[in-house]
Amino acid sequence: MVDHSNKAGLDSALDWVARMQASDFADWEAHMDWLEADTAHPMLYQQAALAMSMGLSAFDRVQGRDVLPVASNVRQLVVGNRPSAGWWFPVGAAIAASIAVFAMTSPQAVEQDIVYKTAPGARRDVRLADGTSMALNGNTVLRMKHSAQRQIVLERGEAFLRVTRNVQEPFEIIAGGRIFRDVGTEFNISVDKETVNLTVAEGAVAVDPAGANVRIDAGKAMSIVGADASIGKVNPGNVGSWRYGRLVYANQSLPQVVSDLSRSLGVPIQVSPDLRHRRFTGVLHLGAAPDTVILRFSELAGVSGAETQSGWAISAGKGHRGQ
Amino acid sequence: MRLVSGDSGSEAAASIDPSLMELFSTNQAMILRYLRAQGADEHAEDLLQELWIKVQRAPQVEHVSRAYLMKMAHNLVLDEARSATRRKQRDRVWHVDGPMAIDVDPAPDAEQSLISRESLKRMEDVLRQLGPRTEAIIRRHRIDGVPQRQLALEEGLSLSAVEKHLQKAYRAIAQAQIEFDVREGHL
Repeated sequence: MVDHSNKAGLDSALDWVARMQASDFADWEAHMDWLEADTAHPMLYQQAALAMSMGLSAFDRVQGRDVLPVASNVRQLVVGNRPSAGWWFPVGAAIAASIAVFAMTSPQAVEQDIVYKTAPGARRDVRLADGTSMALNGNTVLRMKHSAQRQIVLERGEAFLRVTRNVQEPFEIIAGGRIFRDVGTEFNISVDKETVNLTVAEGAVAVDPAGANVRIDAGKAMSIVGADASIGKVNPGNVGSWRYGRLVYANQSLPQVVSDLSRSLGVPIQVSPDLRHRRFTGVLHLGAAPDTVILRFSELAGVSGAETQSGWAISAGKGHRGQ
Repeated sequence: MRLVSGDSGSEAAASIDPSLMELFSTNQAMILRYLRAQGADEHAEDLLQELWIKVQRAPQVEHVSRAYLMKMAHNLVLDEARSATRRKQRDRVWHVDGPMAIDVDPAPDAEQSLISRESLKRMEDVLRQLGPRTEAIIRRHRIDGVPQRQLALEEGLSLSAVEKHLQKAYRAIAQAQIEFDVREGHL
């Protein structure tokens, strides 16, 4: 029986449990001193550690790829309101169900993954064993297991996919901690930091298939920022247009446009925070030199673009023609 | 205490990594102290033996160190604690249902998935309360398996800043679970 009136003891136990998750934890002497300091400490520690393990197991599952039920209201999502509840997320293929508090990942586990990477500004086309073709934009990392090539993780960057149909084994891509299931056939998906953008050219994609199961059909787009999602329209012909040197926008968030531009050009571009609510409509041609493209964009958007040590910075103010 | 190889026979003896054995011997006192500090008492020596067997059988780890051994000892302690808790739960169920109860597993499958859904909802709430950055970091790390170093680069943070976010999340998860268990009378 745990004594819950011992709040101080439980607090320190929780602190220790959290600290010991660090891969380089080495403070064993101090930990043992604490354990020995009070007869209640060992039990409190073990309860806290098991509790953490139990809590974490809600996210981890090895058997099958269960996607966890969603608390968000699907109706809210479709209408375009900001959902108050968050999104659930799937099991990462690389995570083993932690029975112990420390995940002992052996180096071999990573070697079994296939990883596709592109440098900033570079592009790469990949054809998977099942015939699915992927075009990877710059600064993109894509990972999958040798044994399971119908489920891939887009760790960052952007990919346009044309998926081979297989009803037995649906194709899924995991981005930003969520599952996107292909319901045949062509779509574009990008991840950076907290934002996931999905545009569908042909067929449909089911987002969070075992949970909210929101279906995004051809001609629709979904944008997920943190825990908020919104659905919009897109011209199917413009989906993945970066592949042929064009970015097309209708009332898109300006920081998002800059992010896409940065990724496609392979040039770091900062956006000043006071532009965060700005929208942009227009077509950007990527064929010219990056500097030219960025300056043209600044003009179109009515903002100011300036070169910095590491790349470019976009700020409010009228765009200048030349410097 | 003499360390005995997990398998009998000279064939097994030949396959024991001498550096592993030396590392174990050097740290034996510390490991015992740790096991006793965790409440093992008379069982400490038995657990040490079990640990020795486990360490030999564990998959090849690049760098075997004291920290590695201590972590394994820690895991062993938790496994024991977990088994003890399960045994207590089973005993409780047995008494409640009377001697005719056949199914002594306290959580049959259907109930398990119901419990899972509830616990997911709870954890989802916990994560959201951490704030978007911490939430994003813990998800990327635990679910997508992105290592801390890479997260530091992506987030533009120092490694220790990433660690702090993770610690904050782990602590909150553990606390929420305990509060739930107390409310439900599991503890």
